[in-house]
Amino acid sequence: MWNNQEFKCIRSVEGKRFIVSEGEYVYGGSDQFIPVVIINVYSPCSNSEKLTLWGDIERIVGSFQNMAWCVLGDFNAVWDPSERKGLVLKE
Amino acid sequence: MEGFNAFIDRCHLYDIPTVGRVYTWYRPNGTSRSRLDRILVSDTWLLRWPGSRQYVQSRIVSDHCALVIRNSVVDWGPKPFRTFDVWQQEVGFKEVLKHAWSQDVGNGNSLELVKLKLKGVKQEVKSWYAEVFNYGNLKKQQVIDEIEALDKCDDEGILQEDMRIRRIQLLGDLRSLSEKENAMLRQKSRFNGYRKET
Repeated sequence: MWNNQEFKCIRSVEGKRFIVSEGEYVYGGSDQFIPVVIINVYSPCSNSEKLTLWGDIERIVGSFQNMAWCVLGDFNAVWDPSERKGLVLKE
Repeated sequence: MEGFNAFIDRCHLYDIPTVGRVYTWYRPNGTSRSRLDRILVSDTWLLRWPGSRQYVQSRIVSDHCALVIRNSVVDWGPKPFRTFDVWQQEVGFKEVLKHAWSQDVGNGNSLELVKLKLKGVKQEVKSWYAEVFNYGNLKKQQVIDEIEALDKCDDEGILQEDMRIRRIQLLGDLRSLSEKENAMLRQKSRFNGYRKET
């Protein structure tokens, strides 16, 4: 799954709705690297389950403070009404 | 929506600018579309790769579009002159500005002179703020260390009244130092083009 020349995956943990991959982004040949944490999410549709997932991620993120990490994927949520067209927001 | 925003805030996540289409999910019958997928990064990530952008790919088989993150350092030509709000809160900013602006930049037409003056101001303010910033970081660490030492005294039950007052003061200092840092990052992430006005 990973290109070892660019990203060395050291540890990968699977949650119910997410995968946390801890690794090293390799650059400048192979002698230099930056520790990176990538969290892949697939958010559920129901609001209560979403809140549980975000709580879980928040706890994980808290343990990786001051690190370069990113959270990406299908959040099944928008943070501004302008990011949605054709649907009325329930919340 | 509010829950999502609160989550982003609490985790100190930053939304990075998108390139390409705005929405990432389309209802197959075409009645609605949303931006359901995104890439959020931490401040350390943003400082390391300030040109991070999420490229929204074409929709192929799925009703979702794939996202690709890329750190693109694009040369858009001369950078516009911008200021950070935090600069103005620092003591000495006005003096630095005055000094830089009053430098002789030679001859030329007035437009050229303004350009050269702004360039000089930018350089001088930049190196001045780098110093202020380093000092701030150093101070922050000192404050953190001192609070920790006081907490330890508290744990051991030897915290005096004046030490308790000192700790309250230090916690306040720490808060304002962190707020400054956050304000700068927030402004930086917006500069990068976040949130397209529609």
